[in-house]
Parts: sequence; structure tokens; C-alpha cells
Amino acid sequence: MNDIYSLSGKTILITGASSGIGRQTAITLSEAGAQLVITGRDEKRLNDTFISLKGDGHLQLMCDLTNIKDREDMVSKLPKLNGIVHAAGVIDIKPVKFIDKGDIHAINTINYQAPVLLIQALLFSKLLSEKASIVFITSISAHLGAKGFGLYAASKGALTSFARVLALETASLKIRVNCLAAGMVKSPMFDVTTEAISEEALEDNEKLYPLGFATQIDIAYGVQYLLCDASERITGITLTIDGGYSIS
Amino acid sequence: MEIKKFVKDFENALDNVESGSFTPETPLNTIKQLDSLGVLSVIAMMHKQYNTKIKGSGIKNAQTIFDLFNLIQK
Repeated sequence: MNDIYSLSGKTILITGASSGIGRQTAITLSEAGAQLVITGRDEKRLNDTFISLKGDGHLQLMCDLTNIKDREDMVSKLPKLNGIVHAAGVIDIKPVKFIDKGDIHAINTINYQAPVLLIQALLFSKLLSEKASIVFITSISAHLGAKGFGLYAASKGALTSFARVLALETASLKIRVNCLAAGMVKSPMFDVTTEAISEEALEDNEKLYPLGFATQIDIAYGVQYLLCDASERITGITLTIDGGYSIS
Repeated sequence: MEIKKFVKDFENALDNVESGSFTPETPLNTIKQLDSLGVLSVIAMMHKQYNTKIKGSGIKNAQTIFDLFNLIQK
């Protein structure tokens, strides 16, 4: 592969690395030569990811990003970063008429507040190198309507809007900020959706994806692109990886 | 736990259903309002009002409203 797609020499922080897209992204980025700092809430599963990483010198830090002390502890242990991937997130599928204040708080705390406050701390501590690349894993539901996805869509929509502002504010440091909007991806979050909706309904849903559902590796390669030097003039965009769902 | 109240809550969870439309024996597959959003609504209703977590497949496997009532953790 052309060297420009390599992540050799780059230190990348990945949140939500103990499972799903975060875990696969960690493995893929390590194969691309990155030095990783992986974080997650589940010690055993985080370690499972850690031992799956290629190469040496990676770091794993247990952290509940919604806990201010955990977050401060983690930030104090971080090296200077060339990139961040925010993959930590949860889903809650529920029709609007059953939503309550607690539901809104719970999902926004993880999907929106945590990445915003982490970025704030990293900028304030000057832990982002010049030309660093920030990637938020968002969702096509931020732009499209899907029944039952109100809480999730709004949390990702908030993050998407925030990313554009952050991109402008950090441009003078040559820092880039982009979103990767995933459609339905076969992952643990997919299993939660299957439980709520039923397998048959999801099989029908996959027919709306001209190229089928994306895999976690598809998403990881997209993240790699947004982190590497090949995309150094790309900022403020959302890269959609949805098997063509949005155009069908 | 009263089945009458459950039928009422079930009706209320769905849209475009008049009160008194269903009985405990109403077969679920005859309820046209039980579409994808309807299923999500019944799941949310059972979680919020009966502290019972069921899956989409749980509704698929039930034949009648009474079968759903029997899934409530007592």
C-alpha cells in the first residue's frame, strides 16, 4: 500500500475500544502502523482488544468517559496525540411517546457530552499535535428519519453539528475534524437493534442497502482514511458508509 | 395484576386504536396497528409500565394479548 495511507508514527486515542466498531478500528489501525491508546469501561474486554493489537508500545486505559474523575485521570496519563477516534456510544430504540427525561440524559451523556468534554480537556491541555485528526463515529440516522431512533439520532445529530464548529476552531492548528456516519453495521449494537425490531424486519431493512449492510472493517478503513495524511485537506465533512442506503 | 388494565395499556400504546377494541383473546396477527413502530411501542410500554423487558421476537412468538400479559415478571 502507498505509504500515505500508513499510520506509522502516529499516536491515536480510541474510545469505546472494548467492543464493536471501536474494537475493530483499534485492530485495523494497529495493522496500519499506529501507536494506540485504547480506552473502554470493561476491563476484560478492553484487554481482549489490547492483546489483539498488532505491534508494540500500545497503551490501554480503563475509563468511564461519563465520570469526570475517570476522564481527568485518563487525560493526565495521555501522551501527545496525532488522532482521536470517538467510537464510544450507546443506542436506545424507543418511540417518542415513551421517552422520559432520564432516557435523554442517559444517551446524551455518553454519545454527546463525553466526547465534547474529552475534546475540551485535550485542547485545554494542549495534548493534540499540529495536524491531528479527530474522527467522530456518528450515524446516518442524524440525517434521516427512522422510527424509534429519536434519542439516538438526536445525540448523533448534536455531535455532527458540534464537529463542524470544532473543525473551524481548530483549523489554525491544522487539526482536522470529521464524522464517519455509519448505516446499519453488523456489530453488538446491531444485535440490540435486532432484539428490539426482530430479525425478519432487519432482513427486510437490508434489502434497502444496495451493497448490503457494512461491516465493522468497512468502518475501520474509513476511519483510517480520515486519520492518515491522504486526507490532510479534508475537514468538517461526514463520510457516509452505508452500503448506498442514503441514495436508494 | 389485572388483565383488563393490561389490555387498556396495550391499546393506549398503539396509535389509531379506540378504547375497547381488543380483548385478551384478540390474536396479535389480526392487529394491523402492530407494525414496526407498534411493536416498539408495546416493548416500551411493557418496560416502563410493567418493568418487563421483552424482545421483538417475544412479541412474534406470542399469539394473543393474554400471552403478552403472561410474560410480565410477577
